[in-house]
Amino acid sequence: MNKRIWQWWIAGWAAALLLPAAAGAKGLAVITGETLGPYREAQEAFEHAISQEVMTFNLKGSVEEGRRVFESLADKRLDAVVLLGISAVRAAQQSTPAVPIIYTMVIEPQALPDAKKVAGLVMTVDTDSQFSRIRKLLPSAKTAGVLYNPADSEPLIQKALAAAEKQGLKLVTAVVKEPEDAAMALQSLEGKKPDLIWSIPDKTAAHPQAFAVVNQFALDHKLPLIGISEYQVRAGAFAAFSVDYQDMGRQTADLVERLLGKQLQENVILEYPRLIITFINMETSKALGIADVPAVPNIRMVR
Amino acid sequence: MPMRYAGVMGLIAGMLFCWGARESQAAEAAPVAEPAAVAAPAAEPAPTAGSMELEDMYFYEFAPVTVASSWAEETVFNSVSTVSVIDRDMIKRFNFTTVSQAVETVAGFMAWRTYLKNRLPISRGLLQDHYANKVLVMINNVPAWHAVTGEGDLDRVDISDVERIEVLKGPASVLYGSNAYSGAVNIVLRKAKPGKSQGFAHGGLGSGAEGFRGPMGSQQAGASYSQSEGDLQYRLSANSRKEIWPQYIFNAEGTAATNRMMVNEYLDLANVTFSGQYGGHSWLINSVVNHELYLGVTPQRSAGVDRDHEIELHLANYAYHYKWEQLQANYSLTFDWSRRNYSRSFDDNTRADIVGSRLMNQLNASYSFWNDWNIEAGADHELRYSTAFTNYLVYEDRVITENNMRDRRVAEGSGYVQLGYSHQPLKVLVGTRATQNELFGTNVSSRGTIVCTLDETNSVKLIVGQSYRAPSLFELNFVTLPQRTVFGNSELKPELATSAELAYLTKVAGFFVQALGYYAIYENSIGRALGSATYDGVTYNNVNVYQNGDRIIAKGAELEVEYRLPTTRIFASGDYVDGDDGDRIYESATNSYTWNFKYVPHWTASGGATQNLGPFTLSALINYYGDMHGRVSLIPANFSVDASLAYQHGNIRHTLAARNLANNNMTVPEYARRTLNEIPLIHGIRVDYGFSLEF
Repeated sequence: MNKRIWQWWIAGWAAALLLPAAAGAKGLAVITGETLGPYREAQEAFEHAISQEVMTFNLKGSVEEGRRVFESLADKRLDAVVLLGISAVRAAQQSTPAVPIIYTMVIEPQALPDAKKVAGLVMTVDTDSQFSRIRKLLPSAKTAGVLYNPADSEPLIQKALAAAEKQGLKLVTAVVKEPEDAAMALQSLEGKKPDLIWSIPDKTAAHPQAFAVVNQFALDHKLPLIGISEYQVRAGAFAAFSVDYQDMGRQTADLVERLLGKQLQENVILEYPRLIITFINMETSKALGIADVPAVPNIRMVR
Repeated sequence: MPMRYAGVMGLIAGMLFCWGARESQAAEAAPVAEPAAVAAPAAEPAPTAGSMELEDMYFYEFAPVTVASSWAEETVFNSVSTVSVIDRDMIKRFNFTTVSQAVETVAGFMAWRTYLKNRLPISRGLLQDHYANKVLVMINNVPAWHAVTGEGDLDRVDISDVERIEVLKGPASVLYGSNAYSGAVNIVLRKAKPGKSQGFAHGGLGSGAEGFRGPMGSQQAGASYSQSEGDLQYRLSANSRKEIWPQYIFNAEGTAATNRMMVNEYLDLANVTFSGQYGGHSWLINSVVNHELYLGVTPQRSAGVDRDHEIELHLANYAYHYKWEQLQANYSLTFDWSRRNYSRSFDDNTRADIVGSRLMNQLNASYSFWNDWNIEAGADHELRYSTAFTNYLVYEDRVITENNMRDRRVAEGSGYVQLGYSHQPLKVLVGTRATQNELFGTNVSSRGTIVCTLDETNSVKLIVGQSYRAPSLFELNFVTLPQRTVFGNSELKPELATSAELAYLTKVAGFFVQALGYYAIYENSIGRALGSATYDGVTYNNVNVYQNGDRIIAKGAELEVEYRLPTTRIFASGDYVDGDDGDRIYESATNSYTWNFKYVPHWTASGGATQNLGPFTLSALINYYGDMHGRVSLIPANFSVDASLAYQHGNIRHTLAARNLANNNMTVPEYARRTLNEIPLIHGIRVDYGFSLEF
């Protein structure tokens, strides 16, 4: 073969090998909705765990900024977009690109109808896991009380009734339709003599205004309050079952790898956190007379 | 001395009592108290119901109640001082327009005036003479006061920038150093919630000089922007407030008809405040220019009544906070520049200008060990400098005199150590501060507190403390030249105070109650009185000379009650104070006797109620002063009533307020110069409209 043919032959092989690879290396966009520490922790852990190149954006809580980010991404060829936090999800719901979307660090499952494929990792700890931990923490408790707004949380309460019963607990409820009604709802709950108060991520009952009242009530009545987050434990709740933010980042990376590696075939995938942390307020536990908090896995003491 | 021993004995007895209570509790197997149980009464107000995402609720940070003197997270119940907190929620609901208006509602605290100065914070009846140098005013724990005369200004921060106001009554110089002689007010600034950017704008109009029928003479406007992102958070605000109250007739000193005049109380204030933090670094800048009505260098028309009084204040602070495991260290550098300019003549051609500055370095470290113990040590150094106190002719642009005040300076350093022990139900803090003033040598003052938390909603506090205040540069050096009628006194001794107080805090049926009694001894109180003074080798008799007064003993009781639900907030506070006349002196010029507690009402009270009704908030506020003496006659009990209605629509809040609804003319004794019986504090009805917008 003469020299020209050799050159064409090498060029042809190079093209055959490199072009598809180049076409496949499109990368990921990671859009973080907030600037809070937990989101940063999750994002850093995600970037550390993921093997692909990522472009990162932070919306600083602005859905409007999210729209601009999605516009700038419109002409980019992306494998997927990863959304950290609810502001990023809200922005995507208004300008969903037709690529696979993976959302994380949100509490409830989210709908993204225009996305090519959707995978979500929520922060919610399922009710069975919660009540089995409550049973270990408070072995003598018989009745748990909960405030909820039926408009938001009826399905969750139905599930919780069964989960509590499995652990030998009676779940008593009080309806709260506005955060301002919390004090009145607690009066109604008091008559049902709960041994503890269990909180749920309900937009009315978990509102800070309502939580402040519930927290005070629980402390005044020496009732262990199970909050929804580490932050509520720091504010005085006895305990909460929450997530490890770094592990949320790592689990999200794993989810992305599996989604792009075609190991997940469904169009809508929902996962729950694999690592659950039990946060305990030491001062509150002392005040409640719980000198030795029973050993439960992955426990973290605060204050 | 006996009081000091009595204090130590009291502390020991208190500890034994509390340990006894603890043993008793253990025997009954009752659970121990829990400080977080009381976080709610003064916790950060929760946002109003709106469209919060669940995630916002999940990550919502509830601010713990902390006070400046804490060595750990503190609540109202286990704080080592009796601190009264006015939080943002209360400021908003009761529509307070100034910090001085807000602190008036605290039991044992008043914001009065003399003919010479406005907004004088008075703690537990210890009057402030001509200047307000006995109560320390701080912004974010940074002391702010005039280097020459010593006064702090409560209203140098706009109320819209305030997150909460912490009022500490009683001797506090061991905790805060200079000028916290009879109390301290710490104004804590607002900041953005973590991860948020927030804008705030406000404005308003009010009735003016001729009452509510008159022109719209009062205006207020301002805006702020704050952001908190990761380690960085900052807030910048600018505000303007112009208040004009209805006119009144002022009977100035003297009997001539020319000394009766119509005056308009006004306040025309503009300020800029910046606070920022990045990691362990923090910055604070506060600049204020204020013009206000003035009742003369003496309350006479010929001495500037109804002329302008200008105050210019600039404060800059840098601080670095370092934390490593159980060790915390702080360094703070403060520069505080103040100027006061006021009229001294009928034609306003003669004015006085007082300019001074302070440079302050503070270093402290605290270390927690063995779970229950904490030690804190620190050192402060302050240079106080009087640039000038000149009287000058405005039109001729000529200085008449510098009043013996140019380039006066004094350095003061102090070191302190505090040891704390906290193990339920007992919390103990004992501390000592040694102050070295280059003019007055060394003073050692100590303070001890025992807090016994009987259960989660009951605690008892015993506080025994001393306080120290060195005379100001003005009190030491001033001479009115060329008249030679008022003399500072370089022979003055520092003021000393010793007090003991016992407080009981409880929460019953939703009511938070703080009741306390105290006993205080004030020595060497500094004030003006007629006497002899020597200047340039010449002795002048029957002139006003700064002098130390004789010992005063005061005792009092304070009660604060609060009921709080998300939609309702009710408070009532009242105090009784009774002081002796140990400092009584005869004044030949007026043929009368005078003493501090002659002028202080035995009884004062405040109360307020507010109720949310959907988007509306109704509130009412009452302030009451019992009978008190003026120089010659009794000033009868009086009160003022304010009411306001607010309407919240989305992020916009509209407020309509009526001030002094009962149209009472509230007066206070003119105790500083003691030639008038009383001077006006509140008069006439004023109606204000305001709005605020959060974005």
